[in-house]
Amino acid sequence: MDDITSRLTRPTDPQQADASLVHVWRGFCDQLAEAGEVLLRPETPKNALDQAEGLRYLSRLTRTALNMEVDSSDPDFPRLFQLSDDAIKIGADNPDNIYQQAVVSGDRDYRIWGKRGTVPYLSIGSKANRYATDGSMASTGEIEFSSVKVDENGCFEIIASREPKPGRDWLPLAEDSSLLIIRQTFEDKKRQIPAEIYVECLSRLPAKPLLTPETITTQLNKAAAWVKGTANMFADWSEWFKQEPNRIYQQKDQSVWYRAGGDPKIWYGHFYYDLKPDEALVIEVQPPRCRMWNVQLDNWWMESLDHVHQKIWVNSSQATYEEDGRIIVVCADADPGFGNWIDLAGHPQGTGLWRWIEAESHPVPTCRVISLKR
Amino acid sequence: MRETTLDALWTNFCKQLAEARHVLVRPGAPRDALSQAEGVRYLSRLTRAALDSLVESADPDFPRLFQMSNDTIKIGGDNPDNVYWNATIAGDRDYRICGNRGSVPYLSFGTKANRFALDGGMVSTGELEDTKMHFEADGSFEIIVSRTAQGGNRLPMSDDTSFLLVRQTFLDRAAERPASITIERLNGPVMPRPLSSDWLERQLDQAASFVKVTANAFADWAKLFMTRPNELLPWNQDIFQKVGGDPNIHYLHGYWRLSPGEMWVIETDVPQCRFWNFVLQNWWMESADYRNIPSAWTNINKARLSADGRLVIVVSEEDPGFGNWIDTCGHAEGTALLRWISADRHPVPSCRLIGP
Repeated sequence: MDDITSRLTRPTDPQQADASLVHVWRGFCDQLAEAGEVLLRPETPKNALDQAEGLRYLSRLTRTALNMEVDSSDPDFPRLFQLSDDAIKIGADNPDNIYQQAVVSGDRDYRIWGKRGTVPYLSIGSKANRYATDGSMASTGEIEFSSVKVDENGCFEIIASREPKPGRDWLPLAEDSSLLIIRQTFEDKKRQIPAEIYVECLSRLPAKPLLTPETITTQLNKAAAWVKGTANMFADWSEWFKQEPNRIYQQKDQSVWYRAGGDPKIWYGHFYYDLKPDEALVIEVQPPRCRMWNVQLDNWWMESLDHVHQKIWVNSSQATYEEDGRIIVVCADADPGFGNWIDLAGHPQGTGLWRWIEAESHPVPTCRVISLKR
Repeated sequence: MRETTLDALWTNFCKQLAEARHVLVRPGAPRDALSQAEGVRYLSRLTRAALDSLVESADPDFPRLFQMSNDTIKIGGDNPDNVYWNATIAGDRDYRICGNRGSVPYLSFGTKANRFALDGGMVSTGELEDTKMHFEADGSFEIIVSRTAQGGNRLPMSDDTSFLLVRQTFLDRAAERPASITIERLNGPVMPRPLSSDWLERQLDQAASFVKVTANAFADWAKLFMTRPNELLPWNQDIFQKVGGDPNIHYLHGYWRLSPGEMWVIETDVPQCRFWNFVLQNWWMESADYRNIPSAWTNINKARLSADGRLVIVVSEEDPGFGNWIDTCGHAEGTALLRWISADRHPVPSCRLIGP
């Protein structure tokens, strides 16, 4: 590892006319290969499907890390990107959400504009990476679209800056803000139209800097480290949940999920399930008053299962409720004929997540394993 | 259950991916720090495109629209005025494309077959242009992609059709709305097959190979263009059509190299055409950062013609105050591409260097 790092960071004279950066790409690939160790951890499932999905997951993390670190990391030329989408799944990504991010800098002003669409919940937050000081991804500003002026054409404009902008829709930044997060939550992605959003830097722009060997080396170094770090962090989580199979995991405080970038308005009920053939996991709860809830199934890697083609999750507007208002969710291979069926999609073991979103209380859903054998 | 671990497949993929590095030091490849750094970035971009295409978007039963190139994935003289969407399809199945026209000036759909093994290259097996399509009053449309179906908006295929290409050409991206598009297979299976390690191993192999082969294929082109520096020439148009070029486009490729303070001046008549553009590229044939640098390229909408109707383009470090300035963006050498699109003739520009 030391060897690779030194190889990756070997300085190159920018005036040099006979530079060769073959060692940079080689070093990146070597470092990326190390992430494969996550497939070998003692607790990692060794069945064919979890291993194959783990391998694909590494390729997905590679794509998103390169997109983020290499092509979306200049705060003078902010670029909206999706860290996760239908084919990049990270840390129990939410099937009802679209998240977009942009790297920004707290000492600049930004214009955020676009079309509102019909997505029921839309908000933008600014964040500062304070892992070094208090270990958190701290919120430095929030704006919700219930308070944003939208004109008759459905268009809006927001200024993000440290100084307040009286009379304008304003998203506060702090000195150390480094990221914008745009969150869209749908009740039904097929029916509701997403917001269309653009970002530009308003501060006087310097010339676009030339890419240097040092910059690309650092970016690739960070990308490879991110793949390895992210894969192992969520493998740690799955190992925690596995200690208490088939129930909501309660050994950690919610702050653990928030520090990893979770939304403070959400209560997270992670779980690990382990079912034999013909068994189902039944989850039951009386819902509190809340803006929304949902529950999803994820694989060992905490990737949401394929929600484009399979019904692997249910939310508060899709669900059917019992007469007394209770929710019953049945995680099974086939529709059991009662409650709200969600499909294991070929995964007898895996993880899952229950979310209460802006709820007035946070009842912990009860889980039990039943046999569906006839 | 049989136990298996696949870490060796990942190690192997990374090892194969590392092989692509040799393109950076091919004879002819520029060895200045900027071109080298951009070459490494280019490999990272090809890696993203390869994995997205071959791992996530390769099942013709569940077609998934993806972008082989976009504002940060630039391949083989990508077009800054275009937005492309691709999908893997198969000629023996039927598909429905639904969408809304938007306000983009040009929208077309093509199906393609890979006939490289038969030495036919990438062949068009069906084309449908917006002017030949029926749209509802609200701009919505439906297309059936099929070998056999008739009537309505129909996009033909052949037995060996393997992918769909959707092209949109903008005059002014900020003002024009792109078309929205979805695709589904008709009468297909309900659910994708579970992921298999054999399939994934093959796809990862192909992805690593794609990065290496693609980078070298366009380095071959750059080497060819280097034989006639500071000119824009038609070469053999078959070369460009064989890899999936648009039959409506006449391509004039070139390689340029400037000493400090030198200017490359390009002059030409402009034919009657639907569209033209000129794009300055690095040696890897990536367009410059057109999203953030307005003078990285010019087109029929942006350029000013001289009083006698001629087009003058000046490629230099700084705006010389005449003609249409194109910024070298810090490069001393690179490639360039002039496209005449649906033009009545194909003039070859006269090119010259003006010293400092």
